[in-house]
Amino acid sequence: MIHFYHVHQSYQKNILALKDVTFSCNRGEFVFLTGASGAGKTTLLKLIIREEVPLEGQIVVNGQNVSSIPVGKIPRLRREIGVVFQDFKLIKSKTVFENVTFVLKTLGVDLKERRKRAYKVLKQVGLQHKTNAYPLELSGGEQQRVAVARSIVNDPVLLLADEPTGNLDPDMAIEIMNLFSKINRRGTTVLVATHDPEMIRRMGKRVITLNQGQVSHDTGTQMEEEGK
Amino acid sequence: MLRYLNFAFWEAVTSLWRSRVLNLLSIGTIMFAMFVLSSFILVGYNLESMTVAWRDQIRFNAFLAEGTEEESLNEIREILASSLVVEEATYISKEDARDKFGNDFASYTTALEALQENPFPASFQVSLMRGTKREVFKKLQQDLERHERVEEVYYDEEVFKRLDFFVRLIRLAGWFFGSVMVFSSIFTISNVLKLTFFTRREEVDIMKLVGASRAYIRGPFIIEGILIGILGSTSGVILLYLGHLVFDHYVSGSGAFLMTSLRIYFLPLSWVILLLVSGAVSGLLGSLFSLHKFLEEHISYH
Repeated sequence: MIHFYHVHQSYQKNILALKDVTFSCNRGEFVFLTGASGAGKTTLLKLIIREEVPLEGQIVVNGQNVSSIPVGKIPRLRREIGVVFQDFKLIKSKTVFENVTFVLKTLGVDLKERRKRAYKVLKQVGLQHKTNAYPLELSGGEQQRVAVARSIVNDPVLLLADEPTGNLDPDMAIEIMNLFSKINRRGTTVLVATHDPEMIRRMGKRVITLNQGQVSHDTGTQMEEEGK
Repeated sequence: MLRYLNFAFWEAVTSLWRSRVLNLLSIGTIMFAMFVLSSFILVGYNLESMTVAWRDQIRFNAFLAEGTEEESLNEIREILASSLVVEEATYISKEDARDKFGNDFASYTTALEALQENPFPASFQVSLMRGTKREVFKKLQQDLERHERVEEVYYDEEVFKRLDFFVRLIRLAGWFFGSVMVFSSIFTISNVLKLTFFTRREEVDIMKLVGASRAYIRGPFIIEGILIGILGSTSGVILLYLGHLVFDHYVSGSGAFLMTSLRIYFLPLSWVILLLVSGAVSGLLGSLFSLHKFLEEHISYH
């Protein structure tokens, strides 16, 4: 599903945000991406949705080389991927319902179906009673859950989440992770960037560790080697 | 396509309402521009209709020599009667001419009384049938001028030439001021939309990140510009219509100074539609300019 081949990324001359990153995630896998702040987790996620273009290397997502994807195909790529952004990225002038169903609207899904799907995902994150609220009327945790609902409403083939439980209380964090597991069991590949070791330990999934822009550890590779 | 237009339309309406104070500014500018432009068009249109109406019926005076006898008058009457295009021919004696002048220009009565002799010549005031061709009139003019007692056949073509020039001038001024106004409204719309984009740039970025295509981001902005244009031009035309009603109520019918009943007609539907379309086009151009300058970098996926 995701293949990184010798990817380099840089924001400033001589300072690399990612250095020679190579890894693969198979379809249907659940992977944690961890590392200290500034390790390159967010950069890596941005490259997957083509928010950034790598300095060097190739990135293949769902069979498409996103390093050289035509500009016109980017929206479609992004619609196949659900993303929970670290800063939520909710449109302040739209209600929870409008935020969650915006992509469905641009895809021409009718109102009845949009309502049905929005109710379903908002119920999953415990916010079915807040459909008409605006983001600024919600707490940080609630906004994060709206972002989670938006990321899964379109049944994405790939779900990316950047610190999705950072603003949640432990119970809600576990609930969201369980929701991700449930989505993963339906066949969606899930990649979660987090620096919450407790969460990673509890979930018992594959972990890719980034350190100063490099993959320092990948339990997936370790498992493969142990399998051999 | 219908689905897309529906989406873009309602997004634009929502945005219009959300930034209503800012949008009222551009609607007001277009309203003023369209009011000025349509006022010039209205004046030009009415003056033109008036000259066409006047031109349609040729009226002339055949001035007679001093001391023309009854016999000669009958001969001239015969020439006029034999013409199939003469609708009415009235003999105005020297005395009648003086009295008419005294009535029309009351302030000159004293000067008139001071005159020893009556300087006004006798004449025939002739109206030809509506739609009479100029060649037919010329032939009649020659027939009359051949008569020794007819001194001059006077048809004031100069008046029409001057009126034509005036109409052209009004129209030219209309186009000039109208163009300036339309350009200024395009500029205003463009800047107001730029401000709208600026306040919504975060929203645009989020739309991009969740996979909205360029068309779905641009569409609402373009429709918003068109709606501002249509609303502005409609208000401008309504304002003109109200002005016309007021003018009609207070001024119409009191145009005796123009020797005809003054009546201002409102613009025909085709002109109204043209004005509304030009408002919409101004809005479209305004939004395209600002999209080109500002939105490209925000919408670009590069």
